[in-house]
Amino acid sequence: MTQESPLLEVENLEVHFHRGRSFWPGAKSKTVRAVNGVSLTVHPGETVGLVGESGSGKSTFGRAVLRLEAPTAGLVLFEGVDVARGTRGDIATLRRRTAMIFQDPYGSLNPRMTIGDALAEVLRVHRLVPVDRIPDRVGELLTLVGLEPAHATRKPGDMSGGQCQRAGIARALAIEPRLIIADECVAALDVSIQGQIINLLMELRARMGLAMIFIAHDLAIVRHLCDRVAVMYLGRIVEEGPTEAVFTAPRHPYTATLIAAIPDINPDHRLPADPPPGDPPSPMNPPPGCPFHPRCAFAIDDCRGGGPPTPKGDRDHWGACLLPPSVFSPSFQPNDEPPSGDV
Amino acid sequence: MKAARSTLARGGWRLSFGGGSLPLYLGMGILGIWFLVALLAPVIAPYDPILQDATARISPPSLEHLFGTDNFGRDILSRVIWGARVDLQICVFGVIFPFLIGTFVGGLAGFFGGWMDNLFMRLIDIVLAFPFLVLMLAIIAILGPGLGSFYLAMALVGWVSYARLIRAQFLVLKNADFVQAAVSLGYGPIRVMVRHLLPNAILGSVVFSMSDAVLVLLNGAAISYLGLGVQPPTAEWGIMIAEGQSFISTAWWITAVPGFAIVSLAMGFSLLADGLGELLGVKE
Repeated sequence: MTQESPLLEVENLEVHFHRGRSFWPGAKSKTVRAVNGVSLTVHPGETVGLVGESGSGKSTFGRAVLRLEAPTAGLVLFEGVDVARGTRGDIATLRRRTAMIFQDPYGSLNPRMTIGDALAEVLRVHRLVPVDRIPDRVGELLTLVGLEPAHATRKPGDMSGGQCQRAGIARALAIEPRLIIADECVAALDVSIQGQIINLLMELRARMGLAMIFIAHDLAIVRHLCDRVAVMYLGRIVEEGPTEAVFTAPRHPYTATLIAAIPDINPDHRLPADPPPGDPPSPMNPPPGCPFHPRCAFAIDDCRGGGPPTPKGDRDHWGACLLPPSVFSPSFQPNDEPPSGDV
Repeated sequence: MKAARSTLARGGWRLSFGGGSLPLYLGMGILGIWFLVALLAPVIAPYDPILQDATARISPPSLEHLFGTDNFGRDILSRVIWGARVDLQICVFGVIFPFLIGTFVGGLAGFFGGWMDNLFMRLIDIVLAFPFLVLMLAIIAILGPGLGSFYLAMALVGWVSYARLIRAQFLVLKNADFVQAAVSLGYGPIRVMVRHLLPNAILGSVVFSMSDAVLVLLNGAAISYLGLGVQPPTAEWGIMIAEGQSFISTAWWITAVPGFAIVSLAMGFSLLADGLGELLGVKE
């Protein structure tokens, strides 16, 4: 997989927002570092899960990659072209080859447009099929996502949440993207519909070779769907690795607490451990040292000062924690712990 | 039956007649009658509206002149019927030009933001700094009296409310997922504005334009009353009231009948605005 040239390479991406910017020069404005030096690589056909609490910057990251948010600093290389500082043409190319699936199934569709019109618009604007073929292609797309061609005449208000989400996916697929960013795309749906949509995404991924960044806070779904996982905390990635490795042997205590907090339907199992206590600190005023130390049960003095910890582990699976993983992750056997060092 | 009605009403923009309310129908009824009256004026008016009859000056309502005559012996009923043409025209043009200009300017300001927003907003502040009628009078005084000047003055002054309405809507909708989706699909700014933002932002302005028509009508009447709008002897309700006011203690019908016409037309627009707002779920 690593021999293939990556589809998306993000290096040290930063997205800052200014709050309370004042009319008066010299007045202090607060800076929210929503995304604070994130690097992530996505290969063609790969699904990367991006998990973290609300406010960890995962949505902002996704929006910045698609240039819906202007990056403050860093590189976003899509097919080798830096779109963070790209020309209008570069961004137009990016838009033709990427698509986004949103959380709110109703909110992501224009309420005054029928589903058929919305799909036809994509095809027409990008001249993807000849004009006389558009109605056929709309029907194909609807069938592809498990809707009836007859749904083309409906408006979002006349459909269920699951149907709207399928229509949203159909619209994303209409431009035949290489990369889809799915931002909490099942969080607003019933559990049974969630399953259907996840299965649909897996099927489409296999069929069309799509790469996907799957932004979610539901770890069970991420484990099911993703090849690799990146865990975000307060604007930084604190751990990244292959899904199974991250879930069975996390390299960051934050990941360990998130995994321990996954609810289990089996009543014989004990209740999940308490989630990390307290709220994440404000991204306007992040704590010194490791950003997780105020909530970390294993924090030592070294965690409380200096800069954020450097990544440790190997290239494929690393965590930004000073401690050896066996401290917080009981399944980690001391003998299979690789020699720690900077990546 | 009730349930069936409410599902019809849920459809939003489609003006399903099962979903409307009493104010909507009353408003549409009143406006419909006035439009018919204006349309059929040559047929239903019993007299020529500017024909003077020295033998029948200031005659009270009678079978011959249903609403009496004025101080030139002109039939009040005929003048009110012909006046409907002028006053409806004032409502329509006095609303349409500000609506179009305001929607255009407000849309640009809300969509692009930055210096464009600053420029247009400061311009709006300047217009709003002057009392509405004073500014209109100043513009008409420069251009010279007449309906054309009135429309131009309305367009120059009245657009600010529409611009602010649309701008506010655009600012909210710009961050809606479906607009973000349109941007991420690579649609150009004009397409995003016209196809995605405008249809969802315009409803509030449409409802507002109905109540604005009332203000325009009263403004038009006021301007004509001051002698700066429609010129005599044209039949227009505002002028009729102005001309009749010296006889108000002796001949009430000269002012009361056009006065009632203005009130009823204004009420029709108001009711329609209320009913439309309710039907489309727009909060003013």
